[in-house]
Amino acid sequence: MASNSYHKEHDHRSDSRHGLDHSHTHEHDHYGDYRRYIARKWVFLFVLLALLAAVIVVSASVGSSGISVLEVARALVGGGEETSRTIVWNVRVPQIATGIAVGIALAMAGAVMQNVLRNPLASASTLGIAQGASFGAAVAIVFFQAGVQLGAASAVTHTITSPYLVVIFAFLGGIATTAIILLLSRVAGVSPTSLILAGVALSALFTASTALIQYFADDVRIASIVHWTFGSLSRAGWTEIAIIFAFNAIAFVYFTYNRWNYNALESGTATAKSLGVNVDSLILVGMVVSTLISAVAIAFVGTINFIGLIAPHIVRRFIGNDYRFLIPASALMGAVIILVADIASRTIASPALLPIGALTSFMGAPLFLYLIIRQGKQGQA
Amino acid sequence: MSCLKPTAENPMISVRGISHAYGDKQVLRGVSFDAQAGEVVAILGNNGAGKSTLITCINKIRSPKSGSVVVAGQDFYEMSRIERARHMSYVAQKSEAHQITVFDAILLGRKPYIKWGLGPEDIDKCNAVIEHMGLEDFKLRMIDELSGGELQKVMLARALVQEPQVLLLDEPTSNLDPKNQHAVLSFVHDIARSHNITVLVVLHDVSHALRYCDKFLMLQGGQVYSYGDASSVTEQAIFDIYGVESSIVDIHGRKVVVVN
Repeated sequence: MASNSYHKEHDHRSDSRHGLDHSHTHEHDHYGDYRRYIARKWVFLFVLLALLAAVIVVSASVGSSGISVLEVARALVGGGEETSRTIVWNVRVPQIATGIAVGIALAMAGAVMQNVLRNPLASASTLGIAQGASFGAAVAIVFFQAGVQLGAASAVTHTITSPYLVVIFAFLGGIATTAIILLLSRVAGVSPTSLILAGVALSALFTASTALIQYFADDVRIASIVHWTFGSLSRAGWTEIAIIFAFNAIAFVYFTYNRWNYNALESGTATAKSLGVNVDSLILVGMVVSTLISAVAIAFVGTINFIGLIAPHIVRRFIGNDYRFLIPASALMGAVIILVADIASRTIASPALLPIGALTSFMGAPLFLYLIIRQGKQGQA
Repeated sequence: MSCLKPTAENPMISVRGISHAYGDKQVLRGVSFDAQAGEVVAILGNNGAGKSTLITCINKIRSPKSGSVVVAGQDFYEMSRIERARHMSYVAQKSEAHQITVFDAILLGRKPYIKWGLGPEDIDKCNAVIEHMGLEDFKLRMIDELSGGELQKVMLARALVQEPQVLLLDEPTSNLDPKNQHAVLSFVHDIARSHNITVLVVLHDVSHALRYCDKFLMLQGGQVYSYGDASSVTEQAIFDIYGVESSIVDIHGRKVVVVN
């Protein structure tokens, strides 16, 4: 190919200009610079991983049964007393695993939605996808007997009897919202900024619909839905956790495979197309996969807002907008945030448990406002 | 890859009968022209003449209603997305700057060549272009902190790392001060010559075009008004295209358009 000569010619010229050895070391230096820069991003990922490990240990040792951190650590590796092991492995570990799975799902989905919709405010909860998924799950619980409340007094006995049905309905609710969002942005030409307003309308619609269902449901099911809409990490069993992780794994591979495409799309649609990116399918599949993992997570733990907004934004502060690192780092950060929120929910008003969804909203809403202000300022500039 | 070596008979790029419409509004009407390897072609015309639409139709960012493009003897529209990106690169009029480094922004030009991960040759090729364009000093800066001129150079570097045969530039000087306008156009001119790349560049400043370009495609209402070398850019043509009376004067051996 004629143009391939560019670099050969250039290399040749730089060799003759600088002398072979000099140009060689020069180029070597360039390599080093960039390697060090990339190494810093890897360090950040490992720091996040260490942070997650620390939060896991703290989370496992926080609770009403008063087991020490050391005892928890022993139980985690299979040592210590029988009762400690039972509490750690049967109560706390599933809760932590749920938190990690849900945090990863919501944060990855948020990072990708922000990219493909070209809007930093996009996430499952700000677009109404979470509310759509909640509505779908509520329909499954009320009309298809997919969930029952075993004892209204206890917070942890709510059980989803047919997890698959709840997932399917949650996904249908979420994807209906996504379809509307995509139609508005792709067909009707609604601007990325206005999409969030559409999200407000859709959220209100689905929240009202969920309320309407409650109005017609019997007491037991109302309790079931109300409890469910609070959001809790304690209701998912190992099957549910495995389902969320399985979907996360598929999504992670797909997102990672497309990391260069997301980076290209950050430079604008036209530039991405000129780089060989199939922009339409990147947006469509990205939204569907993001909706799927969000809906699956929401189906099992209820509404936990803003994780998809907070996690990618914190991560961007440290490693920029490079999707090679943003996707795994957001996933880890999502897990960390949700576990921290869970710890807070169990300690702030101990022994009472605060709903985790309320706590993430307390963290997320101010950030959301901050981002709106910043976006407004950029718009004026 | 089998491709014909571009010669006078086999131009690097051959655009035939490109027509496009937005709804009922016909924007391009049967635009045809050829350009050789190493040539810089200025695309001139008033606002709404279809200049930007033409270049986005040529690289199929937009699918034109009709027409064809042949690059180095191959039907460009029949190529896969990746193949197209390996033949033709594009710098948009307005680049969206975000939080990535200059190096990573330039590395994006390797996107059509990356399968799963980066290879050492991708890094090498980036470094070669960075060095050639003198961008070493700020290659680890974030692109959203760059000045307009610096950002434009980064976007050019990205387009070159793509190793194109044809480079499309949509008003590359629109946000630049005079010094940077000349720096960018002079670089584009040199790179076309030294690396046998055909450059199609949308320009508003006819004097710039006369100084840095070899051929001049003048568009009027989506049609080709004239296509040829500097002699085709006449005072009459400028009047017909832009509706202004002007004089083309010779200053230090360079043609300059002065609006009367």
